Amino acid sequence: VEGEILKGHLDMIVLAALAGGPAHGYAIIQEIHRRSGGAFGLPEGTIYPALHRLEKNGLLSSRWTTADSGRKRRTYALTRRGHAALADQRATWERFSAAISGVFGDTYRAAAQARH
Amino acid sequence: VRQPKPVTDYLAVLARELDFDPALSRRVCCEVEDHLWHAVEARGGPSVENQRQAILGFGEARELACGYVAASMLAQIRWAGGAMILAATAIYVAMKARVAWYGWMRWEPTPDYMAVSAFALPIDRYATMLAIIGALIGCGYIATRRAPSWIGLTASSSIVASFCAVRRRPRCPCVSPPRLFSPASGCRERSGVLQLWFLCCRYWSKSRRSSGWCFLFAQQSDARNSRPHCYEIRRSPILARYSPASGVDQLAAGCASPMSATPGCRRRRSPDSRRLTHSIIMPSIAMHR
Repeated sequence: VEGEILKGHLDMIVLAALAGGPAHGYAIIQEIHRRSGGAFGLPEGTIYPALHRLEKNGLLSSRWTTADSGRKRRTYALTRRGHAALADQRATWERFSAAISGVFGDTYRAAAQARH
Repeated sequence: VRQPKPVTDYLAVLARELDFDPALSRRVCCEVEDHLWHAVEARGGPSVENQRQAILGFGEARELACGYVAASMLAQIRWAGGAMILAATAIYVAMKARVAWYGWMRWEPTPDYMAVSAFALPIDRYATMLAIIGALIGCGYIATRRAPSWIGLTASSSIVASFCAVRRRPRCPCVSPPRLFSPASGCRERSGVLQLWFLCCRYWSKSRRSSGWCFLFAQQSDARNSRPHCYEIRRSPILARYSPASGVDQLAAGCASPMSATPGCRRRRSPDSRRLTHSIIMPSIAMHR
């Protein structure tokens, strides 16, 4: 997937990855990787500015925890506003996706007719 | 021979890239350290090759720092500007209160006036000087904050947006209400010290082509006629640093982003961009009474 397209939707992707429950940065990137089937080729570090930005906007909350290894770890969770924002963005995305599918559907039909 | 420690070295580089905001640097480095070691363990153990692979997957430290610079910079500028404006406003209110107190007490100059003015007027003067010193400290604080010389397109566009939001007129840097702190009409006198300060700021601004949101602020009573002088809040161009080839005028004329208009400009560096001056403080030419 093109990096610039992906960056435009990074906030939504991060919110969606956290919908399942609180997670730390590495787990979030792994969840995104798993759900997308490895289609997103962004550097892993890209999500940290997004996480901090979302936290600043009140969509995420975070707290320090201690991992089994003894390292400090920042765990993020969706806030109520985050859940609402995610639902809103999901609805917007579905409308957009349906519209694009419609446009491409017409294109496919036209191409098929041209072939026949 | 020094044992290679890619993760440690990477964290050191990242801390250096983020040194424009020490608190943010500590937090991000801590998070990134946990992330990298987690990634190293997932690759099978803390070998040097695994560490290198983890870092490769994580991305460049500078790329990461660029994701933070705009928000951090704007937060610092707002904090410093807000604090200075608050201080100057407090001084202004105190001085106006004093004048109001004189009026309320129907105080008339008497033969004792000179004796009173011997200590009252210096209070005015020193309060003004205090405001200016505060402004200069703020100026120094903002000027010495360091940020990476390289800034990403996303970060720059947010700065452009914030800048354009306040920019109204081409070739005229003043965008704020000119009488923000001042009462009605103008008074043209300027003290020598302030004149010099103003010229220094102008020279500094031009010579460095640096930028800024500018604030302030001071209020001065004229010792001769007790007329307060006020200074406008000004803003001057912020983008020259990031895109030296494109001038302030281009920005002012169309509020277009020179960065986004110039392919490949992400990696351009201005000569003095090592030390990113976030803002400058510039008093207004116009003084209003």
